[in-house]
Amino acid sequence: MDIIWGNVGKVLSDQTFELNLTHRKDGNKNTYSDIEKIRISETDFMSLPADINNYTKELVEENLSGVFVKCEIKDKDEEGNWISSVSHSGQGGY
Amino acid sequence: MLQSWPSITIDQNEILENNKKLSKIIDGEFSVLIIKNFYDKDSCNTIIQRINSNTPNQHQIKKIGVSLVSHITRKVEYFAEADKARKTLREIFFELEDPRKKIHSTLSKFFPDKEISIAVENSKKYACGVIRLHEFGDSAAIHRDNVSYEAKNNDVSKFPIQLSTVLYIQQSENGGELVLYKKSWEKSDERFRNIEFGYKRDVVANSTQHVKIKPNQGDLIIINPNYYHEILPVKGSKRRITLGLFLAFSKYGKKVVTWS
Repeated sequence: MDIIWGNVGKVLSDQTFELNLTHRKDGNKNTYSDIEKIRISETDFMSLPADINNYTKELVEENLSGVFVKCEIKDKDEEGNWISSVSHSGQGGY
Repeated sequence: MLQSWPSITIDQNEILENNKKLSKIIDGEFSVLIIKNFYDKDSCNTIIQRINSNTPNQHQIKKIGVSLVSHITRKVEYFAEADKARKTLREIFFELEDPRKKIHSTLSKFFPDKEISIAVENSKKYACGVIRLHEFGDSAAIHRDNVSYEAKNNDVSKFPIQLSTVLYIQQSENGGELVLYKKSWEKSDERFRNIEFGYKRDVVANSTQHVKIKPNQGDLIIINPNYYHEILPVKGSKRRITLGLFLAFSKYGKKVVTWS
Protein backbone atom coordinates (compact mmCIF):
# COMPACT_ATOMS: atom_id res chain seq x y z
CA MET A 1 0.00 0.00 0.00
CA ASP A 2 1.28 3.47 -0.83
CA ILE A 3 1.75 5.84 2.07
CA ILE A 4 2.20 9.59 2.05
CA TRP A 5 2.47 12.05 4.90
CA GLY A 6 1.91 15.76 5.17
CA ASN A 7 -0.14 18.60 6.58
CA VAL A 8 -3.85 18.99 5.89
CA GLY A 9 -4.27 22.11 3.77
CA LYS A 10 -7.45 23.43 2.19
CA VAL A 11 -10.54 21.45 3.21
CA LEU A 12 -12.60 20.93 0.06
CA SER A 13 -15.70 19.18 1.37
CA ASP A 14 -16.96 17.11 4.30
CA GLN A 15 -14.68 14.23 3.27
CA THR A 16 -11.97 15.69 1.06
CA PHE A 17 -8.98 17.93 1.62
CA GLU A 18 -5.71 18.91 0.05
CA LEU A 19 -2.62 17.36 1.57
CA ASN A 20 0.65 19.31 1.50
CA LEU A 21 3.09 16.43 1.24
CA THR A 22 6.24 16.26 3.36
CA HIS A 23 7.13 12.56 3.17
CA ARG A 24 6.58 9.68 0.77
CA LYS A 25 7.16 6.01 1.56
CA ASP A 26 10.08 4.45 -0.30
CA GLY A 27 8.72 2.10 -2.91
CA ASN A 28 5.35 3.76 -3.44
CA LYS A 29 3.81 2.52 -6.72
CA ASN A 30 2.41 5.92 -7.65
CA THR A 31 4.13 9.26 -7.99
CA TYR A 32 2.71 12.02 -5.81
CA SER A 33 2.92 15.78 -6.27
CA ASP A 34 3.57 18.20 -3.45
CA ILE A 35 -0.18 18.78 -3.13
CA GLU A 36 -2.64 15.94 -3.53
CA LYS A 37 -6.39 15.70 -3.00
CA ILE A 38 -7.44 13.15 -0.40
CA ARG A 39 -10.85 11.54 0.21
CA ILE A 40 -11.15 10.20 3.74
CA SER A 41 -12.25 6.57 3.92
CA GLU A 42 -11.64 6.30 7.67
CA THR A 43 -9.71 8.12 10.40
CA ASP A 44 -8.47 7.51 13.92
CA PHE A 45 -9.25 11.06 15.06
CA MET A 46 -11.50 10.56 18.06
CA SER A 47 -12.67 14.15 17.92
CA LEU A 48 -14.44 13.40 14.60
CA PRO A 49 -17.74 11.46 14.51
CA ALA A 50 -17.44 7.68 14.37
CA ASP A 51 -19.64 7.58 11.24
CA ILE A 52 -17.95 9.34 8.33
CA ASN A 53 -21.37 10.24 6.92
CA ASN A 54 -21.77 12.61 9.86
CA TYR A 55 -18.70 14.65 8.94
CA THR A 56 -19.19 18.26 7.96
CA LYS A 57 -16.71 20.54 6.24
CA GLU A 58 -16.57 22.67 9.39
CA LEU A 59 -15.76 19.68 11.61
CA VAL A 60 -13.01 18.52 9.28
CA GLU A 61 -11.55 22.05 9.19
CA GLU A 62 -11.70 22.39 12.94
CA ASN A 63 -10.05 19.03 13.64
CA LEU A 64 -7.68 18.49 10.76
CA SER A 65 -6.55 21.83 9.33
CA GLY A 66 -2.77 22.05 9.54
CA VAL A 67 -2.47 18.69 11.26
CA PHE A 68 0.35 16.32 10.28
CA VAL A 69 -1.28 13.10 9.09
CA LYS A 70 -0.46 9.77 7.51
CA CYS A 71 -2.49 8.76 4.45
CA GLU A 72 -2.59 5.10 3.45
CA ILE A 73 -3.77 5.09 -0.13
CA LYS A 74 -6.45 2.57 -1.00
CA ASP A 75 -7.73 3.73 -4.40
CA LYS A 76 -8.47 6.72 -6.58
CA ASP A 77 -11.98 8.02 -7.22
CA GLU A 78 -13.43 9.36 -10.44
CA GLU A 79 -12.65 12.93 -9.42
CA GLY A 80 -8.98 12.15 -8.95
CA ASN A 81 -9.01 12.13 -5.15
CA TRP A 82 -6.87 9.52 -3.43
CA ILE A 83 -9.18 7.45 -1.22
CA SER A 84 -7.20 7.07 1.98
CA SER A 85 -7.20 5.98 5.55
CA VAL A 86 -6.12 9.14 7.39
CA SER A 87 -4.43 8.80 10.75
CA HIS A 88 -2.18 10.46 13.30
CA SER A 89 1.44 10.07 12.48
CA GLY A 90 3.86 9.65 15.33
CA GLN A 91 4.07 12.23 18.08
CA GLY A 92 5.21 15.81 18.20
CA GLY A 93 6.27 15.25 21.78
CA TYR A 94 5.52 13.25 24.88
CA MET B 1 24.72 33.82 16.97
CA LEU B 2 22.94 31.81 19.67
CA GLN B 3 22.88 33.42 23.08
CA SER B 4 22.46 31.54 26.30
CA TRP B 5 18.90 31.46 27.60
CA PRO B 6 19.22 32.10 31.33
CA SER B 7 18.03 29.56 33.87
CA ILE B 8 17.18 29.72 37.59
CA THR B 9 18.85 27.42 40.11
CA ILE B 10 17.66 27.13 43.70
CA ASP B 11 18.21 24.65 46.45
CA GLN B 12 15.52 22.38 47.81
CA ASN B 13 15.24 24.51 50.97
CA GLU B 14 14.82 27.76 49.02
CA ILE B 15 11.53 26.91 47.36
CA LEU B 16 9.23 28.99 49.56
CA GLU B 17 11.18 32.20 49.09
CA ASN B 18 11.30 31.59 45.31
CA ASN B 19 7.76 30.47 44.72
CA LYS B 20 7.01 33.33 42.32
CA LYS B 21 9.77 32.23 39.94
CA LEU B 22 7.56 29.77 38.07
CA SER B 23 5.85 32.61 36.24
CA LYS B 24 9.22 33.43 34.65
CA ILE B 25 9.41 29.87 33.32
CA ILE B 26 5.87 30.03 31.98
CA ASP B 27 6.46 33.27 30.08
CA GLY B 28 9.88 32.22 28.80
CA GLU B 29 11.97 34.85 30.59
CA PHE B 30 13.96 31.93 31.98
CA SER B 31 14.48 28.54 30.38
CA VAL B 32 14.33 26.20 33.33
CA LEU B 33 13.99 26.15 37.10
CA ILE B 34 16.48 23.71 38.60
CA ILE B 35 15.86 22.60 42.18
CA LYS B 36 19.15 21.17 43.39
CA ASN B 37 19.22 18.27 45.86
CA PHE B 38 15.48 17.79 45.56
CA TYR B 39 15.55 14.03 46.20
CA ASP B 40 18.21 12.19 48.16
CA LYS B 41 20.84 10.22 46.32
CA ASP B 42 20.52 7.07 48.42
CA SER B 43 16.88 6.76 47.44
CA CYS B 44 17.82 7.41 43.82
CA ASN B 45 20.34 4.56 44.00
CA THR B 46 17.78 2.20 45.52
CA ILE B 47 15.39 3.05 42.71
CA ILE B 48 18.13 2.38 40.15
CA GLN B 49 18.84 -1.05 41.66
CA ARG B 50 15.15 -1.93 41.55
CA ILE B 51 14.83 -0.74 37.95
CA ASN B 52 17.92 -2.69 36.91
CA SER B 53 16.61 -5.90 38.43
CA ASN B 54 13.18 -5.34 36.84
CA THR B 55 14.65 -4.63 33.40
CA PRO B 56 17.26 -7.35 32.76
CA ASN B 57 17.07 -6.86 28.97
CA GLN B 58 18.07 -3.31 29.45
CA HIS B 59 18.16 -2.08 25.89
CA GLN B 60 14.60 -3.16 25.18
CA ILE B 61 12.85 -1.24 27.93
CA LYS B 62 12.70 2.48 27.28
CA LYS B 63 10.08 3.49 29.82
CA ILE B 64 8.30 2.29 32.92
CA GLY B 65 4.83 3.76 33.14
CA VAL B 66 2.44 5.28 30.64
CA SER B 67 2.44 8.42 28.57
CA LEU B 68 -0.84 9.92 27.43
CA VAL B 69 0.27 11.08 24.00
CA SER B 70 1.32 7.52 23.10
CA HIS B 71 -2.32 6.55 23.57
CA ILE B 72 -4.27 9.43 22.07
CA THR B 73 -6.31 7.12 19.87
CA ARG B 74 -6.66 4.47 22.60
CA LYS B 75 -8.20 6.22 25.57
CA VAL B 76 -9.64 3.13 27.27
CA GLU B 77 -6.30 1.37 26.98
CA TYR B 78 -4.51 4.42 28.44
CA PHE B 79 -6.54 4.40 31.64
CA ALA B 80 -6.19 0.61 32.01
CA GLU B 81 -2.41 0.88 31.54
CA ALA B 82 -2.36 3.81 33.98
CA ASP B 83 -3.81 1.58 36.70
CA LYS B 84 -1.27 -1.18 36.01
CA ALA B 85 1.57 1.35 36.02
CA ARG B 86 0.41 2.68 39.39
CA LYS B 87 1.14 -0.72 40.93
CA THR B 88 4.54 -1.02 39.20
CA LEU B 89 5.69 2.42 40.29
CA ARG B 90 4.52 1.84 43.87
CA GLU B 91 6.73 -1.26 43.97
CA ILE B 92 9.70 0.71 42.68
CA PHE B 93 9.19 3.42 45.33
CA PHE B 94 8.25 0.96 48.11
CA GLU B 95 9.35 2.15 51.55
CA LEU B 96 11.05 5.21 50.02
CA GLU B 97 9.72 8.74 49.98
CA ASP B 98 7.54 8.61 46.86
CA PRO B 99 9.12 11.26 44.58
CA ARG B 100 5.76 11.96 42.95
CA LYS B 101 4.26 12.87 46.32
CA LYS B 102 7.29 15.04 46.96
CA ILE B 103 6.71 16.78 43.63
CA HIS B 104 3.07 17.33 44.57
CA SER B 105 4.08 18.72 47.94
CA THR B 106 6.57 21.06 46.25
CA LEU B 107 3.93 22.20 43.79
CA SER B 108 1.69 23.16 46.69
CA LYS B 109 4.45 25.59 47.79
CA PHE B 110 4.46 27.13 44.32
CA PHE B 111 0.66 27.22 44.20
CA PRO B 112 -0.48 27.81 47.79
CA ASP B 113 -3.98 28.77 46.63
CA LYS B 114 -4.56 25.71 44.47
CA GLU B 115 -5.29 22.06 45.17
CA ILE B 116 -2.71 19.67 43.67
CA SER B 117 -3.96 16.27 42.51
CA ILE B 118 -3.59 13.58 39.89
CA ALA B 119 -5.87 14.33 36.95
CA VAL B 120 -9.13 12.39 36.89
CA GLU B 121 -11.57 11.93 34.03
CA ASN B 122 -14.88 10.10 34.30
CA SER B 123 -13.75 8.78 37.71
CA LYS B 124 -10.59 7.31 36.18
CA LYS B 125 -7.18 8.48 37.35
CA TYR B 126 -4.57 9.46 34.83
CA ALA B 127 -1.14 7.87 35.04
CA CYS B 128 1.13 9.55 37.57
CA GLY B 129 4.71 9.56 36.39
CA VAL B 130 6.72 7.88 33.70
CA ILE B 131 10.30 6.69 34.17
CA ARG B 132 12.32 7.07 30.98
CA LEU B 133 15.43 5.03 30.36
CA HIS B 134 17.98 6.30 27.85
CA GLU B 135 21.00 4.11 27.26
CA PHE B 136 24.07 4.47 25.07
CA GLY B 137 23.14 6.12 21.77
CA ASP B 138 19.60 7.04 22.80
CA SER B 139 18.42 10.59 22.33
CA ALA B 140 15.16 12.47 21.92
CA ALA B 141 14.67 14.54 18.79
CA ILE B 142 13.63 18.17 19.01
CA HIS B 143 10.08 18.19 20.27
CA ARG B 144 7.54 20.04 22.35
CA ASP B 145 4.91 18.72 24.71
CA ASN B 146 1.52 20.30 24.21
CA VAL B 147 -1.43 18.37 25.53
CA SER B 148 -3.91 21.04 24.41
CA TYR B 149 -3.03 20.29 20.82
CA GLU B 150 -2.15 16.59 20.95
CA ALA B 151 -4.90 15.27 23.20
CA LYS B 152 -8.00 17.35 22.43
CA ASN B 153 -10.20 14.45 23.45
CA ASN B 154 -8.83 14.43 26.99
CA ASP B 155 -9.93 16.72 29.82
CA VAL B 156 -6.34 17.73 30.66
CA SER B 157 -6.19 19.49 27.30
CA LYS B 158 -8.65 22.11 28.59
CA PHE B 159 -6.11 23.67 31.01
CA PRO B 160 -4.31 26.54 29.25
CA ILE B 161 -0.95 26.32 31.04
CA GLN B 162 1.20 23.20 31.02
CA LEU B 163 4.55 22.65 32.69
CA SER B 164 6.82 19.65 32.89
CA THR B 165 8.74 18.35 35.91
CA VAL B 166 11.65 15.95 35.49
CA LEU B 167 13.51 14.28 38.36
CA TYR B 168 16.98 13.01 37.53
CA ILE B 169 17.35 9.58 39.11
CA GLN B 170 20.59 8.70 37.33
CA GLN B 171 22.68 10.82 34.98
CA SER B 172 24.59 9.38 32.07
CA GLU B 173 28.39 9.40 32.23
CA ASN B 174 28.57 11.59 29.14
CA GLY B 175 26.07 13.10 26.77
CA GLY B 176 22.36 13.06 27.63
CA GLU B 177 22.18 16.83 28.07
CA LEU B 178 18.85 18.58 27.80
CA VAL B 179 18.87 21.44 25.31
CA LEU B 180 16.05 23.99 25.38
CA TYR B 181 15.37 26.52 22.64
CA LYS B 182 13.62 29.83 23.15
CA LYS B 183 11.12 29.04 20.44
CA SER B 184 7.62 27.93 21.35
CA TRP B 185 5.38 25.80 19.20
CA GLU B 186 3.09 27.35 16.59
CA LYS B 187 0.67 25.42 14.43
CA SER B 188 2.55 26.35 11.28
CA ASP B 189 5.49 24.35 12.72
CA GLU B 190 3.63 21.14 11.88
CA ARG B 191 5.19 21.29 8.41
CA PHE B 192 8.49 20.36 10.09
CA ARG B 193 7.19 17.18 11.70
CA ASN B 194 9.11 13.92 11.56
CA ILE B 195 7.09 10.84 10.72
CA GLU B 196 7.62 9.06 14.04
CA PHE B 197 8.61 11.65 16.63
CA GLY B 198 9.42 15.31 16.96
CA TYR B 199 10.51 17.91 14.42
CA LYS B 200 13.27 18.59 11.94
CA ARG B 201 15.99 20.90 13.22
CA ASP B 202 14.68 23.61 10.85
CA VAL B 203 11.91 24.31 13.37
CA VAL B 204 14.39 26.05 15.70
CA ALA B 205 16.45 27.66 12.92
CA ASN B 206 15.27 31.15 13.93
CA SER B 207 15.74 30.64 17.66
CA THR B 208 18.26 33.14 19.03
CA GLN B 209 18.64 31.70 22.51
CA HIS B 210 19.13 28.24 23.91
CA VAL B 211 20.55 26.52 26.94
CA LYS B 212 22.19 23.14 27.48
CA ILE B 213 21.93 21.64 30.96
CA LYS B 214 22.97 18.46 32.69
CA PRO B 215 21.36 18.34 36.13
CA ASN B 216 22.78 16.10 38.80
CA GLN B 217 21.28 13.01 40.32
CA GLY B 218 18.49 14.06 42.67
CA ASP B 219 17.83 17.42 40.97
CA LEU B 220 14.33 18.33 39.82
CA ILE B 221 13.77 20.62 36.86
CA ILE B 222 10.63 22.46 35.78
CA ILE B 223 10.25 23.68 32.21
CA ASN B 224 7.55 25.07 29.96
CA PRO B 225 7.48 22.16 27.50
CA ASN B 226 5.80 24.21 24.80
CA TYR B 227 9.31 25.50 24.09
CA TYR B 228 11.22 23.13 21.88
CA HIS B 229 13.73 20.86 23.57
CA GLU B 230 15.80 17.78 22.86
CA ILE B 231 17.97 15.23 24.63
CA LEU B 232 21.44 14.76 23.18
CA PRO B 233 22.75 11.21 22.62
CA VAL B 234 23.77 9.33 25.74
CA LYS B 235 27.36 8.15 25.87
CA GLY B 236 28.98 5.71 28.27
CA SER B 237 27.59 2.66 29.98
CA LYS B 238 25.32 4.32 32.55
CA ARG B 239 21.68 4.81 31.59
CA ARG B 240 20.11 8.23 31.90
CA ILE B 241 17.07 7.61 34.09
CA THR B 242 14.43 10.25 34.76
CA LEU B 243 10.94 10.47 36.22
CA GLY B 244 8.63 12.79 34.30
CA LEU B 245 5.35 14.31 35.41
CA PHE B 246 3.30 16.97 33.65
CA LEU B 247 1.16 19.52 35.37
CA ALA B 248 -1.52 21.84 34.05
CA PHE B 249 -3.63 24.62 35.48
CA SER B 250 -5.36 27.86 34.66
CA LYS B 251 -4.21 31.16 36.13
CA TYR B 252 -7.32 31.82 38.21
CA GLY B 253 -8.48 28.22 38.66
CA LYS B 254 -8.41 26.35 41.94
CA LYS B 255 -6.64 23.20 40.76
CA VAL B 256 -3.32 21.97 39.49
CA VAL B 257 -3.60 18.53 37.90
CA THR B 258 -0.73 16.18 37.18
CA TRP B 259 -0.42 13.29 34.76
CA SER B 260 1.94 11.43 32.49
